[in-house]
Order: sequence, then C-alpha cells, then structure tokens
Amino acid sequence: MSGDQLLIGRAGLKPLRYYGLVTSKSGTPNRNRPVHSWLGSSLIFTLILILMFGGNSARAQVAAPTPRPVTDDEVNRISRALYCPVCQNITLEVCPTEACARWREQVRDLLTEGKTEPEIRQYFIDRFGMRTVGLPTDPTGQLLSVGIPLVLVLVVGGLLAFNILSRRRRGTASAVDDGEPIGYGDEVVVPDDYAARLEAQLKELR
Amino acid sequence: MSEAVQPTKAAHPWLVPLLAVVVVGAIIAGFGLALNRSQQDSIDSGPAPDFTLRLDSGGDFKLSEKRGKVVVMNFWASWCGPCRSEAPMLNSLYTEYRAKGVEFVGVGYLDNRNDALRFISETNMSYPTGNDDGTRVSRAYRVRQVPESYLIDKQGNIAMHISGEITPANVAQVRAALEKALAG
Repeated sequence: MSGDQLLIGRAGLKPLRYYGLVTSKSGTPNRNRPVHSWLGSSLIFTLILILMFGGNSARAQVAAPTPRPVTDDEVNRISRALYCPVCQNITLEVCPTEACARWREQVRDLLTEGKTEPEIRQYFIDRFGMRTVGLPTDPTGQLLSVGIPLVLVLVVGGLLAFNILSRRRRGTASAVDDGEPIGYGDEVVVPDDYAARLEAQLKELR
Repeated sequence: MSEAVQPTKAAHPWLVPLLAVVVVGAIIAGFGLALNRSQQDSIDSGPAPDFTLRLDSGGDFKLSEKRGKVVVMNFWASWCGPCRSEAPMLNSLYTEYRAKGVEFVGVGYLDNRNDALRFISETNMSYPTGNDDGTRVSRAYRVRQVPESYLIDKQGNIAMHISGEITPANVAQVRAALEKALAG
C-alpha cells in the first residue's frame, strides 16, 4: 500500500498515511505517525461496524421499496368483488369506463403497497361508500339488505322451533291421555301392531 | 289405541299466511321506499344540507360555519372531462369573487387520491377542496353525475343549482345569481 492511497472521510479526501493506517515502505511501523494514532484503530472499528450493520441497513433500504409484482389475475380477483360506484350493477373487473380503469389501477397500486384484500375493500368503502361492495348507499336499503335475511332466518327459525316444541308437548300429552290428538299439523298415525307390541314389552318388564 | 290418531286443526290457521303476507309486504314497501329515495332528483332549492369536508390542504370546511357568506360548491372528479373544461371558468370566478367574500369549495367525487391531487395541480385549482369520503356530501345533495355546482346564499339556502359544466354560455347566469346572493 502506498502512502498516496486515499480514504474518504468527514474531513474530505486525505492520504491513508494521515490516519496512521499505512506502514512505511520497508514494512516497519511508521515512526511518523500522527499524534492521534488512536484514530486509526477507531476508524477500523467504525468500518467493521459499518460493514456489519450498515450493510444490513443498506440492504434493507434497497429491499423496502422493491414493489411486489402484482399480476392481472390478482387485480381482477379483487375487482370482481368491487362494484363501479357510478354504474348500475357492474363490477370493476368488467366495467369499460375510464374511471373504472383508474379504480382497477388503484387496486393494483394498493396491492403493490402490500395491502390485503380486506384493506383494499375498506379503502374503497371509506373513499367511495358502500355501493362499491354491492350494498345500497341508502341507509334504508342497507338496513333492508342486511336486515331482511336476518329477520327471515329468525322468523323461520322461530316458527320451526315453536312447531317442534308444540309437537313435543302435544306428543307427551297424547301419550299421557292415551289417544288424544297429538297436535297441529301432525298426520302421524300410530300403527296398531306397534302399540300392541309396545304394551306387551312393557308388561314383560313389569 | 286401536284407532288411528286424527290430526287436529291448527288453533290459528290464518297466522302463518298473515305473517308471510306482512313480511313480504314490508320487504316490498321497504325496497320501494329505498328505490324511490334513490331516484329522486338533485335538490334545487330550500336549505342546503350541512356537511363537513376534510380539505386536502388541511383543516375542515363546515358549511354551517359559513352562514352569512355566499358559498359556491362544485362537485368534480379527475376522470370527468367537463370538470377539466370548466376548471378555468371556476378559477376565474374564484379570483373575481373571493375579494367580495364569496367562499368556494370543491368536493372531489369518487376519485383516487393521487388522481385527484394531479387534477388539482394540472387545473391550478386554488380554492379549497376535499374528497367526499364515503360519498356523504354527494348523497346529501343527491349528486349522481359531475360536474355539478351549487350556489348557497347567506341564509344557507340553495340559490342556484348548475347541473353540468359552467361554460361561457351560462356563466353570465352564474354571475347574476352571485350578485343577487351577495346583495341579499
């Protein structure tokens, strides 16, 4: 190494000799070291640290902005579940307008940013309202769309439960009353031979 | 036990059909109401619905706080060609009437943020504007297309509704309405 080698430092470009990093041409330690000879060792230590950690952070900095490759299939899959906010019942996937093209690009951008499908849906809801996910923007319409299936399930479930309970209750009562009608809508006919066998078995048990 | 069990008649045979009719009727009525509401035209007169808009430049624009001032509200979108065409006219009106105390506000309609910011920059929109998040403002004004503009007088009533682009052909009417609102 020659004494004319340069090292870029805070103070600018200086010969390495200045930092006490080089030896004399004969290989013996240079006796003309600067007074602050500790600078050399501390600089080496700093360099090691930079190589150890700085390299990693540099790699991280390079890795972070690398956009995730997004395929058209991914964009279409999400666009299929989103509706054009200014059209009538047309999904973003098939909508031919320029506005829809921009919204599809927005989907792509959000995917590139690493957003998940629910996050993208939420972005569209926040920005464009509920109509982008196929729900009416009108609160009455929303209530009906969500509420009707729920109410129907509750009503039908309630009727079924009522019917089953009613049958059971009346069935029990008919068994006690021996031959009483067993309830609403019940068309079950108890076969004579079955009743006879049952009574015979009961007698045996006694 | 030798006789078959006979089914009995229901206590209230009309109950289930009645319930079904009520439920179906309620569904039809509800959807009819919602459909009727969604088909209503834009509002052209009466009190202007109050709203709060988060501005792109920061801060909020609350219409009710502008009571005593004339307000021009313009719904726009970057994907709307006529919005771009009318932008110079609106900028010109803003420059002219800002000094007279007229407040202008842009309401971004169904737009991506980056596209909207690009539009603002390209059209030199200098008055405050913000995105209509969740389409709350446009729904309140029953806006279904852009551009649309509203002129709101000092009392908070809609003085003029311009459906479509402000052009050299109709700008005289807008000026007249502005002068009348300022005088009122």
